[in-house]
Amino acid sequence: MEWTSLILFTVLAEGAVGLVLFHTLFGFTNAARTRETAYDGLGKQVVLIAALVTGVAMLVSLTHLGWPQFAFRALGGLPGSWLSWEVLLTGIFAAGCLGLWVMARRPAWALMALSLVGLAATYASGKIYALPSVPANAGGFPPLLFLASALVAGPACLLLLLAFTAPGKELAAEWAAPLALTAVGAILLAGALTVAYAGAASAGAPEAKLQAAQLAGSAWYLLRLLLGLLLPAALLLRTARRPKLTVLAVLPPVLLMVVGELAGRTLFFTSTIFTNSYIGM
Amino acid sequence: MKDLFERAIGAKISRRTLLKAGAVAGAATALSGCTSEPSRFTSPVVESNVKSFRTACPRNCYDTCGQIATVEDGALRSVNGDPLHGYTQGRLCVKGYTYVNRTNSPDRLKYPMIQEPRGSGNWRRISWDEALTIIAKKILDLKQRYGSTLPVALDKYSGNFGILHYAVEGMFQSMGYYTYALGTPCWPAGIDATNYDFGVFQCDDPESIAQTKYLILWGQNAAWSAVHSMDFIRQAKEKGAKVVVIDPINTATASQADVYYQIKTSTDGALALGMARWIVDNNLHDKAFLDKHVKGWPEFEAYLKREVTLEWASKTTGIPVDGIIELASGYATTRPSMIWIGYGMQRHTNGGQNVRAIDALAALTGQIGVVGGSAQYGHLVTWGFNYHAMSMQPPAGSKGLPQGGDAQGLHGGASAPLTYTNRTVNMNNFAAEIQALKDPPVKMLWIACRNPASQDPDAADIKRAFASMELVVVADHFLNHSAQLADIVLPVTTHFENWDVNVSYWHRWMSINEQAIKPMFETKSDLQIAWALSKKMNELSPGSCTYPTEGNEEEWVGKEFNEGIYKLFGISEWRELKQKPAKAQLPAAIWEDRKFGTPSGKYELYSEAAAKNGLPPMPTYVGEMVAPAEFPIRFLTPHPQHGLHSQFQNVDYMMQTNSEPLLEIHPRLAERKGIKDGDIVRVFNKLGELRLKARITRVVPPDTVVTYEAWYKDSKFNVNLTVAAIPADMGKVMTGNNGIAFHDNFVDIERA
Amino acid sequence: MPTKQLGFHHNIDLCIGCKACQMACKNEYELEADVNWRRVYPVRENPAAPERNFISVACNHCENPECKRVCPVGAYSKREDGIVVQDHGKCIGCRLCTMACPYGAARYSPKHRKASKCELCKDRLDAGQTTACVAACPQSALKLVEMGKLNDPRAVVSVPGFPDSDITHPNIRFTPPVSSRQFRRDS
Repeated sequence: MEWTSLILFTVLAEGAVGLVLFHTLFGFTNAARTRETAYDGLGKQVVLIAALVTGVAMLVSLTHLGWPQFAFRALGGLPGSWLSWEVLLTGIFAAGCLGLWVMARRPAWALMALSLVGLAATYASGKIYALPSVPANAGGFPPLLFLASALVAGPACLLLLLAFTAPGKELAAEWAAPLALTAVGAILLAGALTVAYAGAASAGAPEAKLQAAQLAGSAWYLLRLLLGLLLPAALLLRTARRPKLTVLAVLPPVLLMVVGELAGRTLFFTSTIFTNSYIGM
Repeated sequence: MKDLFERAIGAKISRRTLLKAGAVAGAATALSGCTSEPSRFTSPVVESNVKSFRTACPRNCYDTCGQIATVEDGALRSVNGDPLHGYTQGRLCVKGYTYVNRTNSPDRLKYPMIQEPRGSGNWRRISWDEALTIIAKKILDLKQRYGSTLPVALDKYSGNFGILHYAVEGMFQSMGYYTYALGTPCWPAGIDATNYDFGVFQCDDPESIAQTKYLILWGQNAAWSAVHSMDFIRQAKEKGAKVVVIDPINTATASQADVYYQIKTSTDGALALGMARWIVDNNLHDKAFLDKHVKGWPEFEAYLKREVTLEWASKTTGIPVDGIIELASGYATTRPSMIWIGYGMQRHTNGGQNVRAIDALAALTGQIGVVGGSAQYGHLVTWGFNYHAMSMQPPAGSKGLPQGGDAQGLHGGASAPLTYTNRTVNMNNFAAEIQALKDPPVKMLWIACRNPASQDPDAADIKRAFASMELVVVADHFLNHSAQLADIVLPVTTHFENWDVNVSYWHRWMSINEQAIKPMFETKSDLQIAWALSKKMNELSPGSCTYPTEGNEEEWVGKEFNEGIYKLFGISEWRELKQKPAKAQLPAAIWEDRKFGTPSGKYELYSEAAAKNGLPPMPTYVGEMVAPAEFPIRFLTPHPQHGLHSQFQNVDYMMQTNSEPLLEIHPRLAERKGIKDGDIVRVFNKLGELRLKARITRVVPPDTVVTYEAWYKDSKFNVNLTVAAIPADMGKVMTGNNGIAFHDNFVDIERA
Repeated sequence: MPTKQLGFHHNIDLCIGCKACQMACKNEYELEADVNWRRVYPVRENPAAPERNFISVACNHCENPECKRVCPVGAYSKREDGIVVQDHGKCIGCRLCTMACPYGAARYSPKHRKASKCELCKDRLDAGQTTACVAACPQSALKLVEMGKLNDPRAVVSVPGFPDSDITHPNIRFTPPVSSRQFRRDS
């Protein structure tokens, strides 16, 4: 199967959700409370970017359909189909982001509601792939892996905004270190989940074992862990100690994390071993 | 088949002969051959633009299925089994169900084409008129240069066994005396063996397999090559029959056996003789039958006692002594017990001799003429048509191969008038012999119902043979390996696009083949080509071809029928076949009268005819061919599941489900050679080589590798690059030439 | 709750893997080359008694069909007689059913860009015929049965090589193979 469309869709959508989530969470910091205008200014940028990125993600996801012009039918599988939920919740999230961008100010409750919708969308997205036909996914890992991606991408994108935008730069002094450390935490969580996923699969059904072997045996797996997770974590730890947030301090780890996410998601999809491919064996 | 049928009944086909044959063969015993209910399938709802036709699969297959073709708006929509056919019982097979896909394949040859230069792949569409003009001019040119049409050669065999396809032979005969490939690669050793033993080439009704209590499938893979017999085997099993499979390969058929014997290839005669020895030692032979109906029993008994021991048989065949005893005991004490001898089994240098040894078991136990007993191989009793499509004579004054009269010029020309005959070349050594012919040499080749570039041994030499021609014409459905080497390809109709009548060499049914759809694109049937070529020949040179220049195919089907056929099948008019297939009215056990066609009138364990032909008179053991030191691995290339020789496998449906050939290798051999499952393996010997993927499996013996012969779409894969034209021991008497020992092919392998 | 449940009984012991069933289905519905509503799978060789065995699977018209659960357009439904059918017009070609079905019943057609599957020849059944695959089987190894009314003491719910049936409760039964006694040359 051609997975590019879904790799891009899921990673982009999770990035948008993570961005909104962490902006919302960091709204409880002292800096956010004292620099209200900067925080709201950043918030306006956050929701616009999230809306655009989710919009692009949804367009990209249409390319994996046989009949994209009838994608609107995809709400017809409610309430049983997780894919229908993903479409619905992602759509509401994107609309919500757009709506919040249009507003004069973005109240906290709205941002929190939007974050929750985004998390629900990510969860639904993961649940789609918790298929009994893929024994390696039987432990409930896919939604966790997808949520972890949101937790990794969120701080990464927010750090970029801190380095590049005006309101961001205002909040950078107070936010940079805690955000970098949060990112490191998220990265470690993602790494632990990645390893646990392969480990659990290696103890499962024959197809799961095969999938674990494909994962762990792949060069991309090592790449994801070392260059996509460990290295950016190390770089971000250094960033956390710096007094000033520079583009040079932020860009390399963020780029590595993005590549790491794409690599990880590619691995997730391409290593799938379905029971229906192994009947008789 | 017509030639073979003529030899089988010992006379040339003529209306009088058929009447005689009809009387002899037509025992009036009404026969209920249908022992089970056909599957339930009724025709689809009849709408005005949906029509059904009765057709028959014309392939070289035991089953020759009765079919119902469903046509919608003039296009073939689906093909199913004819529920009124008592042997095929309303079902087809994996190949038959791809017929629509095959008939409508975008790869089908649509128009005549010419390739300039030959073998370049540079094909250009030409009109029929252009194609026939080139062909006719070449024939007339050769006739003018050499004084006869002997430089024109025909290689035709079994691509389509519909009776009207003998029009190709007729077409050439009507131009003069010509050269043709004589013989059959398939089964001749066993035919001669059957003839030495029984005197007539016939066998029991295969539907009576359901009545046997003990069945030995000896070198027979019915699951792949005669799948409709499996139902009768299953019925027998349901009633408690035991089934034994003897085969070097653990086939799909073997999975149905109670006991499977993995015999050392080509040693079947030794096993049969070992069984015979045990049967005699334990007094289980039928002395009364042997006394009354068998010639040569004392001599054979002496041979058994003198030269055959169970230990020897075990050592030779690789089967433990207790296994041989179990087999002999089961066969001899469970009655009736039947043996079905497969064609693969006799594709060896000692193939015919092995068949004789197995036949002997049936004689020994007195089961010949018993329903559910005897030894079965094949028959041609239902093939007694007029062969009107090939009944035309050469134009007056035609010259050919001299015979009779002053053929050798010994009497200075003053003697009986000279007559001429056609020249034959051994179909089973075609490449070598066609190139060696002189006075005159062969300069033009016509290939119909045959694919020598895929199917003949020594594929490389076939290529050279083609290259030596001035003109090569191939009439076929697809651009297969032979067509790729032609100058001109002529697109032919499938059996859905022409009229015909079909019978089988195994079951006893006759089916009409109604034309279901119009010829697609510019295709013509072999018969229509004959009419058209005759017209063109006569246009260029009046009187050069006596073949009719037009006709009605449906009427020509009618012209094939005679009193003998009508009597045999119990019908009064051939059009009755449009309502349902007809079954030959013969006793289920064909030898029930115990009247054999041998010189002695008895079953001949001792055959003087065999001795006269330089063969052992008795079914004594003749050793198997031994592998040469440098090529120690036997390479078996039996018939495939997904195709019939080079047909079907190239079709989209088949390529999807079976995309590439695999080499079955035993894990022990694979380990020795460092080959893993999925590795590409090079298989080679002095003659040539091929490369294919390995499949590690225990269904093959450790000293043998197996792949199934087939033509895969767009592939150069051809097992016959390694197969030499080694002759089998028999076949000359009944078919004109000895068979081919396809399975005595030795190679070495290595990881590529 | 379906009033009755139809399903296939595949006698692996009788099956010779000839694929007539697979092709008969394609013949009946003029399927493209790469769409197989029924598939014949070779079974992993038993080293102790090597033999050629096969599993033939189309759609198992499951009690809890995965295709129905995951389809975003709600194209699948289960009839009174237990047959799981698809409203082909609704399909948008997302292919989730082809991934979700543990048995590979749903097949994607690149040409039509939609998924489709065996519907137990419901129109043939209405016309009093049996399914095309059952009609074609030369060994009578494939039968259409009413679950709960199957009278074969050897019939089982699953065999080695067949995905876990606790997932969807497929309506298929098997008669497992019994291998021949073998006199082999590699002992």
